[in-house]
Amino acid sequence: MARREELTGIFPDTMRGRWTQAFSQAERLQEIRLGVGLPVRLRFSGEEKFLSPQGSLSGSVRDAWHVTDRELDGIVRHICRYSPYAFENEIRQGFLTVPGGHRVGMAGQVVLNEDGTVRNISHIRFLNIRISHEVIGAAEKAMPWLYSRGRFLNTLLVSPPGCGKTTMLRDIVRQVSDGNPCGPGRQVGVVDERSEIAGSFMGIPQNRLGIRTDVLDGCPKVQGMMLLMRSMAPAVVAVDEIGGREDMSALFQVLRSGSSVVATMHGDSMEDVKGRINGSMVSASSGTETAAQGYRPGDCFERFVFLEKAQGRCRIREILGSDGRRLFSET
Amino acid sequence: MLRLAGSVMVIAGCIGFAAGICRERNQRLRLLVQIRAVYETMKYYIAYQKATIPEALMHLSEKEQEPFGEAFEAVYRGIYEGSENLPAIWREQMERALSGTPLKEQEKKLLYDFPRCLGFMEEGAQALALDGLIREAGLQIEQMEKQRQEKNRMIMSLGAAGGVLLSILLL
Repeated sequence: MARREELTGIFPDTMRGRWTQAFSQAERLQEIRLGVGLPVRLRFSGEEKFLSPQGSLSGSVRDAWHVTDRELDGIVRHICRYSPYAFENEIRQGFLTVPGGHRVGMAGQVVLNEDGTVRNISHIRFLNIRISHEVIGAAEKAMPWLYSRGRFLNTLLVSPPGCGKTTMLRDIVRQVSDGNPCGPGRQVGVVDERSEIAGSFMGIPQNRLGIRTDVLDGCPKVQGMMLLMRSMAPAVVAVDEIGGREDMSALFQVLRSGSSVVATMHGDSMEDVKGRINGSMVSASSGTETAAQGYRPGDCFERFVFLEKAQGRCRIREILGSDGRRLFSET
Repeated sequence: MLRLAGSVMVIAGCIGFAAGICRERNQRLRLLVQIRAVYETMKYYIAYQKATIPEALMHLSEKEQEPFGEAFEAVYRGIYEGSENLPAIWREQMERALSGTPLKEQEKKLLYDFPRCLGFMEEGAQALALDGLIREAGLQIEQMEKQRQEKNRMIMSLGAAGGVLLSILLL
């Protein structure tokens, strides 16, 4: 389905006419923000525009379309296929994925359980539609450094938010799965806790992840990694945003079983990585992971890919080996 | 002899006409039972399988006979493949499916009103919302069944009597 059609399909047909002009620039569109009583805002690669009720785009808020509660309810119902009960878990987490892999974030009045956990969002009043931009070939420059004699090396992608970690992870998964000049196609298992890697809708990946990829969508990382190891025998396991104590324990189990790992982590330097890995292992040391105290990042990962954003473009700042030696840099 | 034959044919025609009315009433009853069964099955898909409405319709389209099977599939395809509005496509398809049936407007409303009871955040509540339509269908079925024998007998008698009267007048 063409991107324009995917985006148009997010809205009920009574509103579709208004989006024609906006979606004619779908390739540049990054985000749509809707809120009851608030102007409709669209973010196009850096610049913000307002949408008028007639469908024109302008920089002025004065003529903007202010969404009513009925209109927003209509959009939410349509996104949920008129079955919000079937998306209860997704709504509870604050987002759901629509065809095309676009993510719809939701906010409003939260209903809590007796134990204080979120039960649901009863009045959804704010939507943030993040447009998925799959970048085929995003990992092209990194791939030769992530293999050694045809074996995929345990890789950690590190960057602050918004520098393209998930985009690169997605492309690495696709290339490892399909095979590439550095190595043959391998079986890949993706644990996609927040539906960001595969952008699955009703369990079907909306992004291209390769022919040998199995996806566990919406599954917590720890259970997901164990489940994949038991059931799908992946040669490479991919996970997004690791960092917690339990995540690291599960990761070590995957490494011990002989599979390779490719993961992402928030951070900006090797010190951050060390802090997160050791921090998590130290806190785990009171339990079963005593032996892992004082772990060095190089003990679990063989390649560290640091990403950065410069002049509005995401790029590889450097790729380091397990000994901290710089292997490649785009800067 | 010809007159006698004519009279017999007029009487037979009137009885046939009455039988047609009875058959139509039976068909209405059968359709109402079918509508109730559709909602009950849908309730199962929602409450126990947590299926979305379009998915439930897809399953129903494989099981249901005409006039609903094709209509349910069209609604499912419209929503999943065409991203159409459920209320609009539902109304369009149900109107098409029911166009050749003898159902009265009030009975057709049982199907037309379906999109109005959607939108609950929890499957139990959504399933319960369908109960209203199931109950309404049940009441109409009960009423028709209660009156069926009595009314069918009356229609047949009136048909026969009408035929006799007409033949006397024509003789």
